[in-house]
Amino acid sequence: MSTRRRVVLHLLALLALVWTIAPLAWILLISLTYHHEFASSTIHLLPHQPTLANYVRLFGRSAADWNGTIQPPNAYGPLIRSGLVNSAEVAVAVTVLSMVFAVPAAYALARVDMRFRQAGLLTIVATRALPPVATTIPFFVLYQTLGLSGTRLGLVIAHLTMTVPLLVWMGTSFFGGLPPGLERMARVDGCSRWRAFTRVVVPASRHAMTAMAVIAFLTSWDEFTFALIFNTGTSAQTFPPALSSMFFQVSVPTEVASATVLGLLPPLVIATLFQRYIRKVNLVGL
Amino acid sequence: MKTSNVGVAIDAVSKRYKSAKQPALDGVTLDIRPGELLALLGPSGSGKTTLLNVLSGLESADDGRMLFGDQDVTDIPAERRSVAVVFQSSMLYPHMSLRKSIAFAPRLNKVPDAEIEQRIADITGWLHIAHLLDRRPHEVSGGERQRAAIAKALVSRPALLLMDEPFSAVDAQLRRQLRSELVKLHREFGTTTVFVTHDQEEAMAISDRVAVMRNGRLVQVDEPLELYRSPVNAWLADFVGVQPINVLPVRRSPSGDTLQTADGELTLKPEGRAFPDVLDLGVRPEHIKIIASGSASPLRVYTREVVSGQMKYTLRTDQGTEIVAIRGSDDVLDIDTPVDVAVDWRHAIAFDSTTGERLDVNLAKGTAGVS
Amino acid sequence: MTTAVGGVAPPRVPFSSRRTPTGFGMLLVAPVVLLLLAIVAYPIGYSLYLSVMATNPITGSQHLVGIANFRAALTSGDFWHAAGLTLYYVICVTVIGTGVALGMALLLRERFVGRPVLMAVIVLPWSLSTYAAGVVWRYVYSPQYGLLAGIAQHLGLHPFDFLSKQAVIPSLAIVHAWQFAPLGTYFLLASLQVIPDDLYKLAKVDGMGMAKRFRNITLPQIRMPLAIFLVLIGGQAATAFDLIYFLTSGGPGDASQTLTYDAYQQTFQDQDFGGGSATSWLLLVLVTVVTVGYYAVAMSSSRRTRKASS
Repeated sequence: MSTRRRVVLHLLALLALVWTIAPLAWILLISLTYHHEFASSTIHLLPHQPTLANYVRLFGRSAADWNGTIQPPNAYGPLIRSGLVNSAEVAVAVTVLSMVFAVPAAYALARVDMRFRQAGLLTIVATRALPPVATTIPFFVLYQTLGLSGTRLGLVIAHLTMTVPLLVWMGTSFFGGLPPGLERMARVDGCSRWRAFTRVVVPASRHAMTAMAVIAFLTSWDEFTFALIFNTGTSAQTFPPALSSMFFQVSVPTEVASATVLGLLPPLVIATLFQRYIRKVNLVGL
Repeated sequence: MKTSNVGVAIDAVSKRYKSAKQPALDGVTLDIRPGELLALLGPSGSGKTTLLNVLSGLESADDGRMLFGDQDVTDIPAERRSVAVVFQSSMLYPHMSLRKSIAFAPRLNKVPDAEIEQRIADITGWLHIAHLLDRRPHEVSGGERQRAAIAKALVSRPALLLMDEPFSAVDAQLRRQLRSELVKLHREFGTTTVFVTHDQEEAMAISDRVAVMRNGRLVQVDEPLELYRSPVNAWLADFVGVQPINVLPVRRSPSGDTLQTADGELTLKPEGRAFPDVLDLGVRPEHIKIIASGSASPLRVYTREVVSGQMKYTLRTDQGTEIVAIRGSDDVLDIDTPVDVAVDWRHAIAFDSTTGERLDVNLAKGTAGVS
Repeated sequence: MTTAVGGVAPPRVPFSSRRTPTGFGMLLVAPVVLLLLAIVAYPIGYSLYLSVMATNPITGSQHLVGIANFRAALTSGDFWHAAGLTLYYVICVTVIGTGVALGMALLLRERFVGRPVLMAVIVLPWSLSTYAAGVVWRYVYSPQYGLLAGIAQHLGLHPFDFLSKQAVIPSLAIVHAWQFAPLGTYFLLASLQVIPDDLYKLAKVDGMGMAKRFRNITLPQIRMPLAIFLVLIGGQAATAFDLIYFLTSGGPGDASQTLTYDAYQQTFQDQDFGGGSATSWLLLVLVTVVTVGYYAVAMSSSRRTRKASS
């Protein structure tokens, strides 16, 4: 490889790196800046006086400002914190339920020699093509009648409409990739069809299961539209609408930045930890 | 280590797949003797793998019954049938160590751990894979995987061991080695075994008896040598044997004492044997004797090749009738040498020229030797 | 175990192997089918019902108006304005997103220092949701405190208003592409990596330049994944909502009021369920038509190449 080519390659790589992480780094830096410094007429690319005060105040404590005066806890702290808790609860419930529903179905559609297989798969996958707006409106009206508006259960159900078809589709491609004779061997070894599935197929595809669970969790955690429309301003409000309220009502960008970073951390950490598995996800599934 | 064994009775078993024109199994009746190693031989699509699947319980038969010993297993699913299968591929669980894969079935059957350990130690010692037990399938070689698969099949002490072309994915040398090890293991453990293969050489080499299938039916069940000597029809005669059998359409000459090929170029002297007027004469290459002759013979050496230290000649007439013959390598014939041939009549087989069925002609009588 | 064969007759349990494969499969699939019937099919049917009804926002009373909602949408200037913006947005996102995804994939196919790091971090934007990407980029674009404004200031340049009426759609598209491209990168990279090296060597021997090699070797191999990615990112862009909600709320004015945002406003701000449903159904029809058309083109062209190469 010529030197010039190497230099160009590395410059491009650097550019790609900056493009990818600069926006994230920037909001992180802002969340570590005092409002005083932030509000100054020049924009500091690096905080001169980095601080965790914005985070401390979100967690319900007072913290010193740049000049030593004590600032009270952030008024939006409780909202953001309960939003994070609600998001986590909803996302965990969605993950568990999605797996319970989707994994057996995906397995059957991928590997059981059954009739209506193609038709079943197509129908389930077709539901993924629907834009959320098409389902939000009827859900909104229905939830008002059923009293599911402003509940975590309501949101969990709404999220299942997105995650279940997605996981079924992902799962069929994963299960389809397992060695062809796996269940036959298990059957001969003394497993019933169901046991062959639980004792052999599921353990053999635990990486795929991990990826599926991660995708389900992220999808629910990141979901905004349903959460905004159903749960804004209720006790079941998840993080996205909580952040939305803060974002549109507070004009202290440093505080909003710290709240945003808190909400971004779980998916970022999970995606980084499991990126090995996520990378194998077939794009068609998303 | 020897265990008592059961025989298997297959009684008029039929199976037809949906959307298939022909039945995969068409009234198959077969008795497998206790402790026997039976090869199930046939070309692809002959139904041999279907029969294996029906025997294992992985697929159900549409019709007929199966007995293991005196127990009717027709309606018993695979997991309760006490069978073990060595599959063609993916014979081990990819996510388990060899040890766990091997122990999986006996553990499901609640065999005590100590006994499982003992059995694994015995079998894997025999198969020379005891040192590999903690590896995963992808961490061992193809031959070691095959050995582990056999160990896995034997460890649960099945009533019936089924093997579905287990050595087709390994190279020729390793295949021969695994074959002879299988024969030794079978002597040691004596498990009733059905070995599916499309390779007649393999079937003849390892088995006590060979069951040949074609189009969902059994063609012949016999000991290997018997199958080779007395095939029931011309197709089978050609199917078994390393070198293709010569099948010569011949008719009795007007004078009645010789047989002539259709083009009239070759004349054979059956020495008083009672042949029908028209037949297909089957003679294996090793039963054709080449006699160097004068230039008057219509047969000439067309091609020659070395086969296992012997010479194989393809002889040809001007009209294109070909005869393959094998003879020793002491006195090698040149291309285009004119030759005469003589048939070893004791080993010739007469087939009906329209149906291909073997005709009941006593070829042993008459003058022994060559014409 | 040697002679005890078969054992007792199996009890009739739900997952008995006596059940046919179809029966077993149905048992596993049935829960999902029932669930989706309840939570997808029913709401969709209800949404269709709403789209032909007029709902009184105060009393909640409904009456049938037939296709009036659709006619109202199709004859309103707002709808066509939104449809035009949506199309513009889809084109921008597709072009930028595909460019970024393909560029990154081509880059990551090469060997360079820090490749594993880049490989690992490009998953980060994708793991963010679009709403979060919207918030993050608000901090990048802001003329008062934005990263880009800051850089401009340090370089002594005049700050540019990325969210102005003229620039808002491309600016939104950049964010969308930033967030969605990594997925395409992974996907395209997987296809790129299976192109045999020998093919490129052969092309070099044949005297092909970089551009020709890309056109004749790389592109044919990634045509299908590329087509799939285009459909996906296009569909995503056509239904984008949260990004626009956070970054511009449809503004400035109505400069970023796409169909999705329009449907949201009609429904949840104007309480016009019928109109909102009608708009979202029209959007769905639009997306479906474009997607199916695109697939058809991609499929037939890939079939042609296959034929030509065989």
